[in-house]
Amino acid sequence: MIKTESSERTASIEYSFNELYELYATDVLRVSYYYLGNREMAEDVTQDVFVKLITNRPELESGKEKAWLLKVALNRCRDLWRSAWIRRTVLGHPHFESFPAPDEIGALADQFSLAEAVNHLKPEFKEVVLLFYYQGFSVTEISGILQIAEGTVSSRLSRAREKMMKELKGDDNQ
Amino acid sequence: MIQPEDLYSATEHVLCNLKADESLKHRIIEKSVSSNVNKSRSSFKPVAVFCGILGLFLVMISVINSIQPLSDPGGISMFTAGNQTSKDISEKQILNMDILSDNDILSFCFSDEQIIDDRQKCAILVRLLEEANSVDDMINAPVDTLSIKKADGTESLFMVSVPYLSANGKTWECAAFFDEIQKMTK
Repeated sequence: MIKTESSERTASIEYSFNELYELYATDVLRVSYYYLGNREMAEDVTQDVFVKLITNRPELESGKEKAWLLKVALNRCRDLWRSAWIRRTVLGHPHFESFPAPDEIGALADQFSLAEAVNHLKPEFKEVVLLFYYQGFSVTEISGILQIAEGTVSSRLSRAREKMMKELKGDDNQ
Repeated sequence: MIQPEDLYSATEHVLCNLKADESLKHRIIEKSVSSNVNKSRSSFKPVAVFCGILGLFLVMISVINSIQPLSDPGGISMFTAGNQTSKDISEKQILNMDILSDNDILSFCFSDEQIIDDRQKCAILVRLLEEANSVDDMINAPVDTLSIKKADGTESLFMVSVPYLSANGKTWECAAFFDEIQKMTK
């Protein structure tokens, strides 16, 4: 009887993992990649996030699974970014690595510039930009994910946008 | 010009090949399985750790005690017995005498009165006496007195048996005994 219950519970968790992985793993991977600018590190972060999901089995509110996954991912990215090694070897890298579709390379200049502009932002700005512009979270939701005041989110978004626009215009002028 | 609002579409184009694939999924599953195994293997057992440390501590005490009993109040640097002489002759010798028990002569000295109190000195005396003669031998000895002779030649006699022997037959109640020694050495 116990074994059956355990099996059912395991199956439920596996189903949750599979479902969440299919729905959100790519988002977690890309956000981590934007943050760290390194594919291997982004994959490691994604791995850590989902391993934590499986091993810790958190009680996730329905509809807030993605927020939880991205919150854990950003926390992990922040930890990694704080290490001197990452700053020196990854963030110090001059170019943002890209993975363009082979048939669209010619049309990618603008999009690539935007990605670069995001990548050049400081982590605290990058987080809000990725969550707001890329993942479509509201200011209130971002406030909950990052555990900061809504006003701070708005102000960071505004400053980040300003910096990005400045960089994009700079690219246009060149 | 491209705007920050275009980030999603731009990302879709720029990072279209960056996807969480099956290999990453397998890595996650393998890692979670191994971390679960490690977690169960490395689960902290405070009681077991405490018992282990306690056991080790007791073993260490018994080993140390077998080498040099902790109950021994004196040490080799505090006195010398029998025909031995003080290792450090510069130490102040406050008591130096011969004990005559039956026909055996036991010589000893205390080198530092400040460190060992009277009771400890008594215990040392007793130990020396026990080493020279077993308790039974002393009780059954035909002569039941101790003769303590100072270096200047003066001599005192002490009863060896009942007044200085405890009920368990091992610990001497020798306060009066040592008082007499102190009086004698003043």
